[in-house]
Amino acid sequence: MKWWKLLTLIFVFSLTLSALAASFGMAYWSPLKGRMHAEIRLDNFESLMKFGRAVDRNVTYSFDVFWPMKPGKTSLSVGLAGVACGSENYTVTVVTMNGREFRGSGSQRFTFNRRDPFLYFHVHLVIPNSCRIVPRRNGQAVVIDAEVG
Amino acid sequence: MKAILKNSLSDYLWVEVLAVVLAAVMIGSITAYVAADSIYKASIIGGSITPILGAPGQLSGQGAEKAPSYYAHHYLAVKERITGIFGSLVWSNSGLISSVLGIAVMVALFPFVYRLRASFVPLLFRERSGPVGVGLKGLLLALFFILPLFLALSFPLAFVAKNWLSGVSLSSVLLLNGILWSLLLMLAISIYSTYALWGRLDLAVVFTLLLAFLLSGKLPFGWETVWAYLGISAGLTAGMVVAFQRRWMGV
Repeated sequence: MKWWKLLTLIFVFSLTLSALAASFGMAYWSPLKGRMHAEIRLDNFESLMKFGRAVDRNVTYSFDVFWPMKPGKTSLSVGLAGVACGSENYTVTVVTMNGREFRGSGSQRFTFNRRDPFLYFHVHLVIPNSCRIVPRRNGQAVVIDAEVG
Repeated sequence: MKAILKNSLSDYLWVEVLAVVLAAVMIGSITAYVAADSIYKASIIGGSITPILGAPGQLSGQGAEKAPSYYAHHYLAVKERITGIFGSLVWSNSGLISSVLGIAVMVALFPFVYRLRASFVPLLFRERSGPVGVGLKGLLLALFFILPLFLALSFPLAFVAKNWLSGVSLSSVLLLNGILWSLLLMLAISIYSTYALWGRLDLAVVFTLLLAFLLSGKLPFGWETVWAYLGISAGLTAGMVVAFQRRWMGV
């Protein structure tokens, strides 16, 4: 066998096998989930509502969420648990990581594309002071469900 | 060069092929394991902005909302932070990485060096020694053989850089790549020089692992580590050249 043939054989064979090992290993050892569920508690909700009614202001909550998650087409649903609103519903604004803004009132479901294995978004809630508080074991919370696929 | 290659691989051709492939797979999978674990941990540590204790609330009109472009910039800033944490998390496994790299380099080089060293062994047994040029050309060939190992080491880092950290400055990943490459170079030169000069397997193993462990645990995650490894490789090469020269001059 010619020596350069041997060297080419070593190169091609070892590079292919190590690339395979690396790609399968990365997929296997980084445990990315395709589905996330979280309940984020609303801090001081009852006292803020009481105070808001007294001074005739709405209550707002704004926070960021960052999770490692499989990339792909993501559907995100954001809703409130433990709050019952009448004619005037609460509004949800979600800003995604590429600067896109989704807005809607009531429990919402958005779909957008992600390329990185991270999920980052900003949530801004405006809750009118006419809403009622429904007693709940874990208190009032924002329920977030994210699913890829 | 062709003659050295033919001579040293006459009996061990397929063993050498198998050894390099095995070493490349070892290095590729251990780097993939450490990189996957570290990037996952780094994305949890670096992006810890989910309100666990509850979201803070206020009355409307108390604080202005930021523009959507602010969050796009902030996402890039979080990715930059994750990149920095990723590099140092990988390097915190320096003991595991350097021992596996040392063993993989031994596996890859021994079938080749085993026959080559026959001409250099014998300070102890007073056999005939070969010419200096053979030793240095052999070193070049050995570095050529472990070239796939350098690439195998970089595959998982390139994967992380492309799939997880696209769009941010990757100085930390480049630094990590530099550290790992210079570590591999140092281990290869150390194994080649101990084995070619003294022809002692036990000495090569002990010396290389001592060098890897004692040094890697102490060195921080920074460019000074790269200079330290490169300096040690240059020193080992210089020592080898001096020894060959003395042999050649019949000192």
